[in-house]
Amino acid sequence: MWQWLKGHKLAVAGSLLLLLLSATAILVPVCSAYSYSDQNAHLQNAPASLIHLFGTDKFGRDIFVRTWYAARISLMIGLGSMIVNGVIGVLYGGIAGYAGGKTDFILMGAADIIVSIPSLLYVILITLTLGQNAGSILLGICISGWIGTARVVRGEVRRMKQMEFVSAARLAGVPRRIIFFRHLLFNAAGPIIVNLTFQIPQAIFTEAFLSFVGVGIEAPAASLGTLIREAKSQIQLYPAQMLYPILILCLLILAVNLIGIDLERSFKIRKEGLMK
Amino acid sequence: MTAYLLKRVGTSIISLLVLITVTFFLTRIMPGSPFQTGNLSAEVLVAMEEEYGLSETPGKQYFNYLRNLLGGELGISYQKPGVTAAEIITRAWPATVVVGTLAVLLSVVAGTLLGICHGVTQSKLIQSGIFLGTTAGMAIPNFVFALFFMPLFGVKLRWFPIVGLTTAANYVLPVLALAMYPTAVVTRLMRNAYEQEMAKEYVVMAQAKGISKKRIMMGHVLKNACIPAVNYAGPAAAFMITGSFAVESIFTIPGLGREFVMSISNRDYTMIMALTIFMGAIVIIMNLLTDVLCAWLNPSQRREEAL
Repeated sequence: MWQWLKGHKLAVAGSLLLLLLSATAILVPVCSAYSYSDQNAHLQNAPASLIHLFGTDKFGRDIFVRTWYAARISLMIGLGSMIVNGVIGVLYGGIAGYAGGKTDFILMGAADIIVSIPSLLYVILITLTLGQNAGSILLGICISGWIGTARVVRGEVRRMKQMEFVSAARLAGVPRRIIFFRHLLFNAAGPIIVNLTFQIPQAIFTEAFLSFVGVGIEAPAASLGTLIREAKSQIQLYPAQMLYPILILCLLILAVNLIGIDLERSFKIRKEGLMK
Repeated sequence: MTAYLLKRVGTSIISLLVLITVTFFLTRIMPGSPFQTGNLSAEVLVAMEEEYGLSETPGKQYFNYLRNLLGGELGISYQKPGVTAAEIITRAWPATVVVGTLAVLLSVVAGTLLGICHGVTQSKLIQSGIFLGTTAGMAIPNFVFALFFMPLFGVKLRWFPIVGLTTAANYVLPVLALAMYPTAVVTRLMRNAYEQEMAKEYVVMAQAKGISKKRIMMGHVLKNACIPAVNYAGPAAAFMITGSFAVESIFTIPGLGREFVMSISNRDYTMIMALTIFMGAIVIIMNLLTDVLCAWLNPSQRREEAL
């Protein structure tokens, strides 16, 4: 166990960081005496202190609570998009790869058409239509986000369905559904997990970017992007207000990226080992 | 190759149609009126809707819009009366495209060099440095880079101007901010591709034959290892276009991104529609070009697609 952990320093570091960030993001908004939207006219732009760890913003709101509340939204969008994209991508790619032929051609052609439009444009159109909240952003991300996963799944399924263990299972009369879920998907898990892990930082970035530009989550709710945008108007006077949300945003993306890089590397090594 | 080309051009055209259709109907059902209705009488509103062709059925409006698009007409801005969307785009696109192209070029060149450097060098220090750099480049969003560059290099050190695009020095900071993430991605791609190529049998064979390391690198490995980097040019173009929303707003560059953000906050629906379609079309075309280029460089790709 210890040896295993030693070989995966990046994943361990990333997981610990992510755990720490998630725990804080869940606990702080619940336990703190301040809420993310309470304004205090007597305490505007206060510097960091023991009472307000990150200080307060121009409306006297506690930046510490706001930042962690925002981190929670980022995490939810990251996880949500991973789950939705994972489910759709696995089923879609699996069906295309397993069926092959015309079904595959049509399904993957449709995916090509959807994916060649930049995903940020979908997200912007949807947030403008359905309102600027986390749900619309998640929906927008998921319109084309699953296609990368679907391509990976399809490729793996096509590669493996020719292999002997699949033919053996088919000859033994195992139903197609079970062959797909138990044999093909299980063996293709490595690349799929890597792909899904990298979906999280992508989604967190997209949300923060949109909120920063002013198309994302709207006041009084706050996302990391919104906080950075609000602090930007006072960058000359109170640069520290911008630093906290930026730091948390970068740490979130970094933590998940580290896990992803480590997973990618170890699956590659295992695959090469198998081929030799 | 012809079959592949036809297929790719076909899907691109359908993509474009889907983009136009989705944009058109979503903009129609967006909440709020396209006009500032505060103190307008009912008759004026009806007259304005007539004027902008909004009194017809959505289906008819859609076909009118398609027909106008074919003629290169993108409609009249709702918020700036008398200015057509095409005029605004004509004015704005060069800034975005120049900054974006410079950033793509920079990231491909720097990323390729760094990736190869990581593969060739024996120094653990350089390797760790490159790893740290790419990890940071992937974790820090482009608008954060821009937000750091502006006060640091622009305001405090006064190395570069930070507003507009009047001199060559104006391009430095926005291009750098945009190029960071793609550079990190290309570096990682190149490093992986280089390692994969070096492990292949033809390299061992060439080494056994006594061909110099330099010739193996230049003649064989690099050519093959470059394909992933070229492949990334399509997604990179998309990244530049969308990245321009934030970077252009921060550096006050009069480009497509800033226009887009402004038209969103003004709820200028014709402009939103026109810019979405224009930027989407650029990305679709870039994707098409890179795919065709890659298929030409790497025959196995087009064969795989055709299967």
